[in-house]
Amino acid sequence: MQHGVAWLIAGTAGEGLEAGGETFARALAALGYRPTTQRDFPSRIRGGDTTFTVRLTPEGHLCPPERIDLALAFNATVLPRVDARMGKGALILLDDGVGPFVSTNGATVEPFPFTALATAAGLAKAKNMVALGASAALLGVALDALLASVGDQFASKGAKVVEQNRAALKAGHAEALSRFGQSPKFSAPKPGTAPALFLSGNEAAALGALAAGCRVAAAYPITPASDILEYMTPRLMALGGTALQMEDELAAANVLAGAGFAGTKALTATSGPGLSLMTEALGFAGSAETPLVVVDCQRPGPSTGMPTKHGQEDLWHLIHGGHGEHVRIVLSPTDVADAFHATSEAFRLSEQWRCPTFVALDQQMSLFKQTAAPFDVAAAAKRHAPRGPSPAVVGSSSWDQTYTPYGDPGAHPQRIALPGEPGGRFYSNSTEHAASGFTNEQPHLRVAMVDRRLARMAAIPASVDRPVTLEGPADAPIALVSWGSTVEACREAAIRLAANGVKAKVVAVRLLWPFPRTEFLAAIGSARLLVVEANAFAQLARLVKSEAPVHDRLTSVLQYDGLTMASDRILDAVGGMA
Amino acid sequence: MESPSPTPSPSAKLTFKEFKGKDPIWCPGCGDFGVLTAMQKAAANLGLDPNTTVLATGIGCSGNITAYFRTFGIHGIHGRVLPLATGVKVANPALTVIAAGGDGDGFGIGLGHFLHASRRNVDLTYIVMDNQVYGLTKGQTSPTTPMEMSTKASPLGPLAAPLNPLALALSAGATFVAQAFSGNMAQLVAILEAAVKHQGFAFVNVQSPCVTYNLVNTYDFFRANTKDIAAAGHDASDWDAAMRVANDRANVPVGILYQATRPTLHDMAHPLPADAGVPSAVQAAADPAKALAHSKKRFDGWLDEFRAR
Repeated sequence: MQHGVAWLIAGTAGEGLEAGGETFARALAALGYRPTTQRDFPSRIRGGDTTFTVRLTPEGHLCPPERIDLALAFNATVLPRVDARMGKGALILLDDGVGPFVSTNGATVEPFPFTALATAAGLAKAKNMVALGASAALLGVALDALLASVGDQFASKGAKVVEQNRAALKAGHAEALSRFGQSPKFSAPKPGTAPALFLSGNEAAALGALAAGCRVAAAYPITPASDILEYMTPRLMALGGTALQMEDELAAANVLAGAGFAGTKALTATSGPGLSLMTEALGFAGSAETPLVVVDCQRPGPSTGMPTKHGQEDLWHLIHGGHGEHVRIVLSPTDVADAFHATSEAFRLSEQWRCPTFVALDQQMSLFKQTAAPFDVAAAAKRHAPRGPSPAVVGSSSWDQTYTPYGDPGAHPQRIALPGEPGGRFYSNSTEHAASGFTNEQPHLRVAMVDRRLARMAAIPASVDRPVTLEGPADAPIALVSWGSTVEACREAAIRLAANGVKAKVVAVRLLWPFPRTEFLAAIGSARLLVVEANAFAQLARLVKSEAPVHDRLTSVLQYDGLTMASDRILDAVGGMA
Repeated sequence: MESPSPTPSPSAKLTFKEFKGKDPIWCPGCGDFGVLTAMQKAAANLGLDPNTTVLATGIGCSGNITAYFRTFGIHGIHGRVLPLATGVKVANPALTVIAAGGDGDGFGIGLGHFLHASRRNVDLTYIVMDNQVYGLTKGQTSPTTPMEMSTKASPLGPLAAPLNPLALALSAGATFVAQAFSGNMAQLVAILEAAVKHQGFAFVNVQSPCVTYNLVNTYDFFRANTKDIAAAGHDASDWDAAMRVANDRANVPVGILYQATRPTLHDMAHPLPADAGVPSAVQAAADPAKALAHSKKRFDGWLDEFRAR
C-alpha cells in the first residue's frame, strides 16, 4: 500500500522522455496526487539510455519505489535495466520495432504503437504524449488534466502543435482502453485536494535565497548544481542583483567573500569537486568573519566520481574541510520544502554568526521533484530581523583605535561595519588578528581570538530553527537517524513499520555542524539507532559517535551504489536487528 | 538601514596623509613605498572618500599594503584578489574599488583571474607591484623573472620564459593598460589617477624593485631603461600600437599603453533596468522583508510557476 504505484518511461536521452514525464507528474500533482520523480541519466548531451520515474504514494515522500509497475520503453538497450526493477504483475509496453523481449522477472511484455499513433496524429515526436495517454488509461487518471497541462506546455509553440500533442494523447488513451479494458490495470492512491507546488530542491533553495534578500550569486557550472544559477540569473536581474558565472570555483567563492564583506547576501551552488576548490576561500570567510552561503548539491566522489548519480559523501568535508579551525554552520534540509526554509535560514545564520554557512543537498533533492504546500515567502523573509545601524561611530576607524571589528564577545557577535558606511573603517583580515583587525600573533591575543570562535560554536545550535527533528512516537524503541533527502526514505519506512506493528521514530539531523548534541540526545532517548545515509564510510554515524555515547546501540544502514535509497532497505535492516 | 551613500565626494578633500595607515614593514628602499605614497597622493588628488573606497589585496609583501592605506580594506588569500574585488564591486557598485598585489600573486597563482577580470571589464583598478621575484618567501622566481636571473632560492633561474603582463592584459580585453616605475612618483600618481577614473578594468603594472632579492632589476636599471611612451608619441587609443609597445624588449615602456571604452561588467550584467525603486543589493540584505514587499508580485509569479496545473 505504501508502495503506491510506480511508472517509468525509458529510452534514448534527447527523445523528450523527461519532458513527457515531467508533464505527466505535474498534471498528476494538479489532480491532487503526490507524485515524486526520479531521473536516471548519463553524463552526456545526447544519446545513452535514460529513464524517468514517476511514483504515486499517499504521502509523497521523495524516495524511489522498490519496483516499477508500468514501464514504457522506446529502445531495446534500456530493457534489461528496466526489467531488473520489475516483477510479477508488472507491465512493459514496447514501442513498434523494439523487441521482442522476454522479462526475466515475470513481467508482462506487450507491444504498443507509440510512434505509429503519434505519426497518425501528425507529429511523430509526440510519441511521449501517446505514452502519457496510455498511462492515464492504465492508472485510471482523468484525461482532462493532462489535456490542459499539454496546452500549457506547448502554448508558446502555437495552436497546431498543441492540437497535435493533444491528439496523440487522446489516441494513446483510446488505444490503451481498447487493448486493456475500461477498468484501470493499476490502482493509484486516491488524490487529495490541497493546492500544491511541484518542484525540485534546487528550485526551492533558489527561491529561499531570493526571499532571504540574496542579491549576488556566483558559480561555476557543475552537475547537479548548475540549474540554481540558471534559475536565479533572470530573477536577480529583475531584483537589481547580479548573477555571475565565474571562471572557476575559486573565483566564485572569492566573489562571495567580497560580496559578503560589502554587505550583500551572496550565494554559490556547487557539488563536491567545486567545494574542494572553494575550500580555501571559505576558510578566509571563516577567519575574516564574512557571511556567505554555499549550497552543496552532493554527488558521489571521490574526484569526478559519478557526476549524474546520487550520494551523500561530503559531510566530513562540509564540517571539517580546510586547514585550521573556524566557525561554520552546516544545514541539511530533509525534503524539497525544507530546502526552501533551510536556504533562507542559512542567510540569517550566516549574517548573525558572521561565518560561511552551508546547505547540504544531494542529487535526489537537487534534481528530483516533489509536491509541497505553497511556501510562505513573506514569513520566511520576516525571520530576518532588519540589520541594525552600524556599530561604528561616524569617522571612526581601527587605525585610530575607535573601532574594533573583531572585538565583540564571540557568543554575541555584533554586526560589522560595511564599506560605504560613514564610520568603522577597518580591513578584513584572514591573517590572525587582534580585535582591531590588524595582524597580531601574540600568544594571549591568539588564544582570545580562538576562544571567541569556540564561544560562537557553542552558542550556535540554540539559535537554529529545529536543529534536530523528531517525528513519530518519542518512546519508540527504534530511531531511524538520517540527514538530507535520505530522511524521506526513513519517513516512509516508519509508516511501513507502523503498519507491521513496529514502532519507530525518525530523527533528522538538520544542523550537522556545530553538532546539536543536547537536542540530539533528547530526540533519540534510549532508542536503538539505525543511522541511514548514502555513503560507505558512515559519515553521520561516526559524527554521532564522536558526539554521543551511543556506540553500543548504533547500527549503520549504508548505500553507495549511486542510486537513491528505497524504504525497503531500511525495513530489511530493522528486520535484521536481533 | 539605508544603503551606503553613492556619493563618493566628502565635504572637504582629505590630504594624502589622511590616507596613511600603519607604518610599513617592508625592507628599507622597497619599491612598494613609492607605490603606497603614489596611491595616497592619487586618492587625495581625486578626492576619494575613504569610507566609500575599498582596497582589496592578495598575499605577499605587496598585499600587506591594506594595513598602510586608511580606507576600508580586505586582505584576501593568495592569488584571488581580483574575484574578491569583483565581489565587492558587484555587491555595491557605488564603491571605488582598488585591487593590489604582486607579480607572483597576480601572474602566478592568480593568472587565470587576471585574464578573466580583463575580459569581464569589471570597473576597478588593479595595481601590480611587479618586482620579478617572490620576496616574502625569500627569493624564489616569479612568472616575470628574466630567464637569466638566478636567486639563492632558485639557483637555476625560472626554467621558463617570463610572462608579458601588458600583452596579456591587452589580448584579454583590458580597457586600460599602463606601466609605471615606482621611482618616478609624478608619473605614477598621474597614471593611478587616470586608472581610478577609468570606467572599466584598469591595469597598472608598476615596476617596483625588490632591493633584497632582485639584484638585476634595480632602481638604476629602471632609470636607465624606462622609456616614456607618451613623450615618444604613442597613441593610447591604438590597440596595435599598444601591443607593439608591450612587446618592446629593448626598453621598459612606461605610460598609458591603451585606453578604450567598452561596456563594464555592471553594464553587461544589467542590460535592462531593474524594477523601479527596487532596493539595492545591500538594502535587500539589510531588510529582506521590506525588499520582498517591494517585489511581492514578482515572488507571487515565481511561486505560481511551480503551482501544479
